[in-house]
Amino acid sequence: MDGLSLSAWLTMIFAFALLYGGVVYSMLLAWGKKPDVVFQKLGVSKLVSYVGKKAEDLGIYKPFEYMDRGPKEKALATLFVLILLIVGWKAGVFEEEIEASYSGVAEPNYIISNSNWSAQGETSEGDVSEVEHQFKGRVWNATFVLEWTDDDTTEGNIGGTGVQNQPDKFRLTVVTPNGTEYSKEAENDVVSEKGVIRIEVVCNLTEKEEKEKTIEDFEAGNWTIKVECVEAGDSTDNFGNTWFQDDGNSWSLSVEYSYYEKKPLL
Amino acid sequence: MAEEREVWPSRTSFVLAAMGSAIGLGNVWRFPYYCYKYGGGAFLLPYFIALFTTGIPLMILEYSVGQKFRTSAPVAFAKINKRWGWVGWFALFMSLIVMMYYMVILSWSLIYMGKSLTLAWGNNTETHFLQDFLNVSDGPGDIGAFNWSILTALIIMWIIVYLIIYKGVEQVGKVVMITVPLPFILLIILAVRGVFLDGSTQGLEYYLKPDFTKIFDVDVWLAAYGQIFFTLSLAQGVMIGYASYLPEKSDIANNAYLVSFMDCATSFLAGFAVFSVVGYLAVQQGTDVATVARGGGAGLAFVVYPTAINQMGAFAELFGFIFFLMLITLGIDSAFAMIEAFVSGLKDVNLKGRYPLIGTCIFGAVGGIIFTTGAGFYWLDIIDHYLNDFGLITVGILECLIIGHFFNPQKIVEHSNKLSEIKIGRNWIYSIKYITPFILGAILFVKLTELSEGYGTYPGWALTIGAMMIPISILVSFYFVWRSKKWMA
Repeated sequence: MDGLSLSAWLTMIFAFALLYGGVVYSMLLAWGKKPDVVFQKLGVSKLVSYVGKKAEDLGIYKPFEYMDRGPKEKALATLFVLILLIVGWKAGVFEEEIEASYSGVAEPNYIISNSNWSAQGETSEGDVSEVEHQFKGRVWNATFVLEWTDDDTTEGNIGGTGVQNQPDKFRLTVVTPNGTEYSKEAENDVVSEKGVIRIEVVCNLTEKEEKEKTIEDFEAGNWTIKVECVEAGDSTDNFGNTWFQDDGNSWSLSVEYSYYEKKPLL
Repeated sequence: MAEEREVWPSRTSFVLAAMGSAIGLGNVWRFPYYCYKYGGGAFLLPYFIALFTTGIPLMILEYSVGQKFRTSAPVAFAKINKRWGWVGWFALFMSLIVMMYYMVILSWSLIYMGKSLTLAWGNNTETHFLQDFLNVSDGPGDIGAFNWSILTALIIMWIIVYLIIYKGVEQVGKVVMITVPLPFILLIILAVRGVFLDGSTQGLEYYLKPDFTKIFDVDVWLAAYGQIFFTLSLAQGVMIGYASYLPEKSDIANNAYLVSFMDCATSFLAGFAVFSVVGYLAVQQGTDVATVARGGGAGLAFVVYPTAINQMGAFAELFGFIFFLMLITLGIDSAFAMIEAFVSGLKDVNLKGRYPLIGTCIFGAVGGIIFTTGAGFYWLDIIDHYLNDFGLITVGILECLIIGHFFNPQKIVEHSNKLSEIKIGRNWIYSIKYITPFILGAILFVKLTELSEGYGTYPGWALTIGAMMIPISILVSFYFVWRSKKWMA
């Protein structure tokens, strides 16, 4: 339990002491033992008397003085006052301005689920392929990965003509349902001929939703994904002659995403 | 010559039986969730105040009434005042209905205990529970098919309960020697295992870290008083029935303290077993504790826990088995306490022999069949909601008013103090006369104001049927008062 906060530890110790202390006290009584005698032997009575006396000296017990009780009651009253003070302090009662908002752990009305989706297509040089998609729910985060493999057009490189395939350049644009646009472009690797564009989108909850952990609208909304083949590099030799003209490329798009889903029956 | 009333073989038997009745499924799946939802450790403050101002005083009241009059709830209340005998029957009918679905949940646990041996719930535990196992239909109106495996398990559970109580409290006293300590030991094993899992701290932090701002939220206080009230098996006639078998010179107040403390201590311990696993699961799934914890209840036991068990690696099957065995042993004491209370009510109005027990078991099993259908899950949720939120609280208020205002509570104080190791006094009388009925009344008032909002997404007609269980129980209670005069004659 490393990393448990001090307040959590104190809660644990307080609750265990009170509850299991109560059980032990009752059991001692049931077995005919006088708990006071047992506590005396354990030095608890001494501690209680000390706390009672200290409380009196410090004036904490003053409001209860009219009750004229023994050290046990004085110690208990002191403990009660201390708990109230701690609660009040932690709850911000003594601060000038108490934040009206909820700061505790609220019960969310959603769960977060994961899913994926994929699409394939082919785009000619200079063209844009547009795909519209509605995900399963309101997306929290999504990773869009566009992959393509450039056509191998260097087979004609015979006798050291130095024919080289120029890479393809693609642009991936993702438009969220509320119109925010994310865009990236990249060329494929000339050796492996593989190209990848990765876009990560995170749609945070609104401040209100975050505080109250309550989502009113679980609507997925339409996402627009645009794949543009900016340039399809031809195969050229050392003299600038075109050996093969590249017109475009096929591609695949995969999306891994997490989305907010209305909390189910259970 | 009047037949001699049975007595508990020992004080330990009574205390264990009363603990067994109080400590049930709610300790595992309701208290930890409430704690987390209502301010973590800060929830303990209203919870303890509720324990001392309502829980223990009501427990002392029920033990005193049972022990003083040495009879079950209906006759005890009739002895206080003839007009109030129906309150005792009302409490017992609430128990009878609760018992019908409570036994179904135990049947689920029995089947899941078997499934745990091979982790037969698979990877998608939620789909498995709701669709493959319960075969949940589209709504309460779509009854769907009977689930034969649950029905069979239900019959087995009823037979087990019958065999436990058919020889009376003497045999119950022997059974509880096993069924009460065992789940506690299993809970300790699960809690210890839980806190050593990766991420357990994250869950425990949610469970324990106090958020004192919540202390000023009325809902938190209502939840704390409600939880104390339900967890101690109050207002169901059970504690009155059990105490009626106490010998004449038996302690009352200290037994009430002991049972109440032990019940709350078990709840607190259960939180460690639950939230350590929830934290572990949150880390495994890369999500937060709030998402994993969901709403407590059956989802926690039959979806969240199996999911966590799947990921425990070595000995996963063993921990699954331990968890569901713990649920069964926790629940079965509460179940046979409710049945025993009802049966002793029937016996106290001169219905002798085994017929009251056999009749109650058959009636309970038949009544429980609806909960084994495709719509059973919905009906369980609806009826549980109305019984807990309205029925039991009404009984609690009536108990306090009857003892506090239509009977001399000083007599109870004198009776208890004559026998008990812990003395009660004016504070107890104030609590029974004013504090407890006021707080329970406030809870009931709030619930009544929310009545028009419905519950969940259930249709109005289904909610009406659920709510009607309460007036129907009251009417049947009046019938039983009238009928029992004939039986006693």
